[in-house]
Amino acid sequence: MRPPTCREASSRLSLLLDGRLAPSDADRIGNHLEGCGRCQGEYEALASLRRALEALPTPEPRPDALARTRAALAPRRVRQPVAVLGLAAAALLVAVAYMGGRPRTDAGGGHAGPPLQEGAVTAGLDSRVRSAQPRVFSVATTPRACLRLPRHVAQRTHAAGVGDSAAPSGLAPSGRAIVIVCPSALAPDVATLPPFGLQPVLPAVEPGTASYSAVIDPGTGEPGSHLAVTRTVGDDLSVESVSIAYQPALPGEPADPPDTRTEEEDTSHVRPTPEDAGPVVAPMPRLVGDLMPSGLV
Amino acid sequence: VTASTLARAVPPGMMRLAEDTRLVELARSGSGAAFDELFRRHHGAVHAAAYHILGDRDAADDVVQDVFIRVHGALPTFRGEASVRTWVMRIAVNRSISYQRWAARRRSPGLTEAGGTRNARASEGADGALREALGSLRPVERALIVLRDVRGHSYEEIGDMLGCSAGSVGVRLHRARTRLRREYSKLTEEAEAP
Repeated sequence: MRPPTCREASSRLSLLLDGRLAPSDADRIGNHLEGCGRCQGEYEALASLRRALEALPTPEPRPDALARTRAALAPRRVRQPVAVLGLAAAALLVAVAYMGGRPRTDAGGGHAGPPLQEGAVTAGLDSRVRSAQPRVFSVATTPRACLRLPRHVAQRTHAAGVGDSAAPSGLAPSGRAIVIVCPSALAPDVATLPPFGLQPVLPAVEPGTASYSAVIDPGTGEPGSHLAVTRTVGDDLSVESVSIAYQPALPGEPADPPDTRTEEEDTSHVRPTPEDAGPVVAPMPRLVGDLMPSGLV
Repeated sequence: VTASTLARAVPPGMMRLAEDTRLVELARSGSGAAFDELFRRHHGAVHAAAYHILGDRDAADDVVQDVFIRVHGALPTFRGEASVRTWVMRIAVNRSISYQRWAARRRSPGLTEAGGTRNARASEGADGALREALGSLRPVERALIVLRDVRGHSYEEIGDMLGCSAGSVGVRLHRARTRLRREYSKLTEEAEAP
C-alpha cells in the first residue's frame, strides 16, 4: 500500500488521536509522522490542545440547583381545584370505611370484621398521618381483584401489566385490588407497610394523574396495618396525604357467604358506563361508587 | 399485580439503587423522589457541558434548570432508545446551543460569544486564551469539542446527542479542532507579542 500524502495524513490526525483508525491505517499514518516533521508538529499541537482542554477547571453547580428547579416546577402543582380536593376527601372517607369493613376470602372461610369507624381507622396510626391533610384524588377498592373495576380502568391497568385479574398468576383471587389515583402534579411518593405492595400503574389510569394499585390480601394483614401515601418535601419524608387502615378478619366473626360467582358472571357486574366507550376524564371519586357493592354506598 | 411487578416497586429511600430507566418510569408516574434522583445523577454533567459550551457559570446554572424542566415535561415521550444520560445530554446540548444563540443576539459590544469580556479572559492566562478560542467557534463546533475533549464522550454518544452518525462526528470534530488550534495559536501569539 502506498504511503499517505501529507494532506491525507493531516485529515486523519484527529481520528488517530482518538484511536478511531483501523490498526493498518494507524500504522500507515504513524509511519508518515515519523518521517514528516510538519505533520508530526501538527499532531503534537492537537494532542497538546486536548490535554489543555481536559485540564480546564469545571465549577460545581450551585448547591440549590435542585431547589431552584423544583421551585420552577412548583406552579404546576398548585392548580388543583378546591372542589376536586373536597370530592377526594369525601371519597376517601367512604373508601376508608369500606376497606376496613368487609374483607372476603375466596375459600369461603373468611370472616368479615366489624365495620371500621373513622375514629378506629386513625386511632393506631402515627400522629403525623392523623394530622395530615388528605390530598389524594381518589382511592377505590374492589372486592375481587380488578373484576369490579370500570372497564376502562381494567383495560388500562391490564395493558400495563398491572392488575391482570384474568391471569391466575395475577391478583390473588381472594385479594382486593386498591387503586389510588391522584393528580400527577401532586406527585406522591408511596410508602407502604405490609401487607400492601403499592405499585405505580403505567400508564396512568386517567390523563394527568398518577395511579397506583395494590393487592390487599386479607390473610396476611395484622390488625391496624395501614398504607400511607406520602410526599417527600426537601430531605424530610413528610406525610401529608392519607392513610388507610385495613382491618383483617377476626376469628369468630360471622362469615361472608361463599362467593360462588364465576369470573364471567363477576365480570358482568362491571356496570357499563359512558366511559367504556373511550378515554375517560371523569373525576375519579366516582370510582368509589362504581366499585361499591350495592347497599354499601 | 405479579410478584415480579411488585418486586420492581422502589420505596422512596431506595431510589439511589434504581436504574435510570426505572427512575424515568417512576417519575413519569408522578414520583417526585424519582425525578429528584434523576436530577442528582445527571445535573453535574449537564452543568459541566453547559459551562464549557457557554463559558459562563450563571448561564450554565440557568441551562441546568431549563434542561430539567424540559426533562420533566418530556418524561412521557422517553422511549428508551438511548440511555437516559444520552437523552438528558441531548437536551442539554440543544438548550446550551439555543442559549448561546439567544445570548449572542442580545450581546453588548465588548462581550465575547462565550459571555466573558475579552480583557477579563486575557487576564486568565492560558486557560483564558483557550476559552477565548473556544468562544470563537460556532456553537455546534464548540459542543463537539466540549463533549469529546472536555467531557470524554464517545463518537457514538455524541452522534446520538447531535443527531448525526459517528462518522460525521469524526469529520466535523477534525474541522472544529483545526479551527480551535488556529484560533488558539493566534491568541497566544498576540499575548506574547510585546
